[in-house]
Amino acid sequence: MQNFKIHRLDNGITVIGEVMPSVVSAAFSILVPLGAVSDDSEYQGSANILADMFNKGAGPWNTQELSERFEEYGVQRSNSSGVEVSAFSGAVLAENLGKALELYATVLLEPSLPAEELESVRQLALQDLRGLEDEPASKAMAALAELYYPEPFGRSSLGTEDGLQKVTADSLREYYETKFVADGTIIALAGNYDWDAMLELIQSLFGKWKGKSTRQEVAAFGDVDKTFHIEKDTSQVQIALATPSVCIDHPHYYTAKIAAGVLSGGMSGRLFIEVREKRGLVYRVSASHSAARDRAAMFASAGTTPENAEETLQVMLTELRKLSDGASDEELQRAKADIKSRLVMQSELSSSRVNGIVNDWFNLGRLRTLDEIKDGIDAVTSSDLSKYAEEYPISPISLVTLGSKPLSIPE
Amino acid sequence: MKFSQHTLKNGLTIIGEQRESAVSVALGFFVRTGARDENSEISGVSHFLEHMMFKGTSKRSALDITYEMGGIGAQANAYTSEENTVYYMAVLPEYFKNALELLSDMMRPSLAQEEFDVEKKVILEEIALYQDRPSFLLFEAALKEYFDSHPAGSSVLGTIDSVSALTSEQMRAYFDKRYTAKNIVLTVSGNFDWNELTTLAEEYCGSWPAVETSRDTPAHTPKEKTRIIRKKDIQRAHQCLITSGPAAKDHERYAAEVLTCILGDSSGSHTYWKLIDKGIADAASIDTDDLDGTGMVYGYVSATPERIEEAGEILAGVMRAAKDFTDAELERALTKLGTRLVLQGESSMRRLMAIGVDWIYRQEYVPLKEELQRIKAVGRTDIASLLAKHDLSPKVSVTLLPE
Repeated sequence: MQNFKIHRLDNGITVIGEVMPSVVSAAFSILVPLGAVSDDSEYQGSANILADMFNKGAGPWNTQELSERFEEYGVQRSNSSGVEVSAFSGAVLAENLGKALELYATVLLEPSLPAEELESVRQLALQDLRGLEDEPASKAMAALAELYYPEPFGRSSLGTEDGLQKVTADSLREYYETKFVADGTIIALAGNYDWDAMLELIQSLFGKWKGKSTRQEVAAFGDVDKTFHIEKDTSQVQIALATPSVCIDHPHYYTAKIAAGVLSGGMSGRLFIEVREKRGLVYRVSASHSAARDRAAMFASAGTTPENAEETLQVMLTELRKLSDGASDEELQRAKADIKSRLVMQSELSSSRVNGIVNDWFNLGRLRTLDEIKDGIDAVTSSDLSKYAEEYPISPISLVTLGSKPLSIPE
Repeated sequence: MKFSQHTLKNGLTIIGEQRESAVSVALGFFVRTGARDENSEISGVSHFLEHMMFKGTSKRSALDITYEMGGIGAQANAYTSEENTVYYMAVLPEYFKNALELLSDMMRPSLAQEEFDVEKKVILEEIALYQDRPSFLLFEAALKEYFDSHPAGSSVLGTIDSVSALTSEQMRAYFDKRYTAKNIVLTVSGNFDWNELTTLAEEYCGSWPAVETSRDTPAHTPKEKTRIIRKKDIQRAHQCLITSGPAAKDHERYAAEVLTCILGDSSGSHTYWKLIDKGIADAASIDTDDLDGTGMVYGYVSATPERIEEAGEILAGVMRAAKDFTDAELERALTKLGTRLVLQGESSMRRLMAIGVDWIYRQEYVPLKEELQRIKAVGRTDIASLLAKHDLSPKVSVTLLPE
């Protein structure tokens, strides 16, 4: 039985936890509702720069002293900024969880944001952005998100060249003071720790943090029937496509997960079998269902040499569209077994659990037990799949290709 | 955690680490074979063969295998390195028997011509995929320069030419020579019953041939070399520096792990402060790779083409000044490595990899607690004796620049 805890602080922070007595570790994630969508359109990349600037000293410590404090307690951590949120997360031996939270309270509430460090942080952010050009599969997916999602939800979390160049120490300070706020922040803990003691500590550390947030609502999707090609001198052509699907609180949510599983679960998904195993067209092909509170997509992607590219896209589309015929009992059973076994295996890792609960809270506003998810998965039938495919018939499609050969969706 | 070991009559070794609180069980066949056991004519055969193990046996077609894996929710995969080929799966405990039977059967592949021909196309696509990854091209070229004709520098994927020319007969001959019971370790970690494991392993693997097999492990004396390679249409430049380091059986490997953590960990290390914190490089690291009879320490840095030379010089400087660190840095590295080790111990799959590799290289089992003590025991004198043997001054430098 899972042991969930939820407590809301007066300043709008929600503290959530799962206590796992059989582990020796504890993992944490502090999710602040500030990401690429929060950036002023002239200053895209501010959230990305800010996440890194938090490493550049806080409270009484300079950059190096701060890093040393974390290392003394063996905190394995990362700061990251995404489309909607910034996440400050890590894992420690359970007895050091309190120390890790104390350090993060100083980092997030009393950052130095020193002007003299901005230039080096900017240079790194620019290099990351340019480096994306050298990673064909990631570049194609980033371009697809931009094509498919309505602005600003298709933005890259890395920012833009212009935006990164424009950020100043003053603009960043103002951004931090107005938008980096307690309200809407989630502090999640998973592992072997004393909930009451940690809650009291969090209250004393983060209770004084202020600020009111307004969560940005996603605009209505426009026409997503679009194609975009990026010309590059590469050995393979990257194919990435997206088509509408259901959000996380939709009745068909688990059906969409199963649909992705039938297409791409483990090594027995239809795409793997048809595109790779039977025809040898690719090394990599996959589909996935991505769902947030208010936006979703069914993604599919592959990488293949130019002479195989058209056939690869053709077979991918055929398999995606075949979902409307439902699936055999064996296929359903395999898709369910794959999802459930991954779920159970991740349940013993504190770092996986902390991600599970923090995402649930952010997107659903509640925590699902593993049993609830398993039941949802088990209930999906072949006719659910057909109904889902009728409502979401793999059309319209946003398509991105990258490489020496543009492709389009055949009529 | 309880450890047990058993050897079947044909020489197949079975090792198991039981953890009753685990919700899953991970199992794997660790085969002591890889790119270094090939000659240039069959370059890439180890990796191609790894793919073929999923493509059918006398009992099962390729589809049967993938469908059965899917049916038990197995999280399965395999990898091939210069020295080892590993096939592994994690399942819920109730499927342990099915998983072991399936994985054991896969280890006796039929290597059917039709499947061989289709899979060859997949391998050629995989080679094309890696041609588009700059850091892969860099490491492959750097290993080639460092190891020269020494077998440890053999390419895992092979080339388009060598893979295109491979025949299923050559693969069969390689399989018969390398996949003998004596050259394989069956490793299991997590929630399972030891007696059931040994009984089933005897039933499933007891008839595998017990042919002797061997590997040349010549010593390696690297020469100093510098090389520049180029690739079209890329933005960033990369550099790799390699020098000698402890081999898998050398006790100095613990000192090397601690020292490379101080010098080149992803955060809080010398490379971090001198390169990343300053905004000169967007990635920089120093790692140790202990191999069969030889070993290396390598540095990696990526930066803009304009700054790669400067970045490379700083990286080389960190390696040359390896003995200059403070007691506090040493202390922090020990804490960092210790925490990582304990956190990894909570995953059956990660423990599987750790104990399997320990056995295949050293025929020893090291409990997590003992491993932790060995790391914590590393002090200045251990690092000094490491540096007396391997001073970490780079021998080989390879740089990848935009064309």
